[in-house]
Amino acid sequence: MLVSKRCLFINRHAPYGSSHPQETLDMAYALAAFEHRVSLLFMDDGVYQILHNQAPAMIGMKEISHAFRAWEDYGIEHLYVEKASLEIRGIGVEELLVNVCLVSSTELHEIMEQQDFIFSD
Amino acid sequence: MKYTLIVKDAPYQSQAADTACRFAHALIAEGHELAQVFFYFEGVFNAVANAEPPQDDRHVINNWTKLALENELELVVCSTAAQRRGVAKPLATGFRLDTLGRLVEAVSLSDRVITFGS
Repeated sequence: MLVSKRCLFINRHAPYGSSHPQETLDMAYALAAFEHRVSLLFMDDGVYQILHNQAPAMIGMKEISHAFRAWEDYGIEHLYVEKASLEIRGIGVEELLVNVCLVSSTELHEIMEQQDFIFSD
Repeated sequence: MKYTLIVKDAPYQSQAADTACRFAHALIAEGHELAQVFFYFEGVFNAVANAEPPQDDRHVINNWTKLALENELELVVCSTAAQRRGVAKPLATGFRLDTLGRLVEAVSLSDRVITFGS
């Protein structure tokens, strides 16, 4: 029997500049599939990962955003987005492809303190 | 305490792999337990066989092999990440391919999970 751990994945990179977002997602979903309590946080350029209307096929990349649409089905507990990261980039919540939990940097501190482990992309 | 280390940078790309290996030695020397070292992202390049750095440079890959042999450790290379980058075989001594499932187990057993690399 595996011991369940609280894991937070911090996604700070834009989606298609490297393979890190895809591989970070693979790791997060693997942990979630085996009983770990996984949450995802998007901040800085990571917020571009959850924008609507991505067309990565134009640059030969595989779309990662469809995996976020079904995040609850994958056993992910929370999907957090840092509010300031959206505001700085002029992105409104209506431009995001899923319902997210917007958090302030103060709330982020609390969320991080609740975790057993933190992974960054 | 029980540790899992995740290495995400290639050797010589940054100091991350060197630091991770030194950290592994240090924690074992202090009486802690190393559950697993997991190589992911560009970290899978730490496992390539036949690397030949100049003689006056450190041999990062051999340092990992030494760590593994001296301590009977698991150096686990993510098979998907390695296959994607064409480095799944041959692997240097001490490394073996496995799935993210092995990391899931190690995380479950560990008190600390520490990532090296960007």
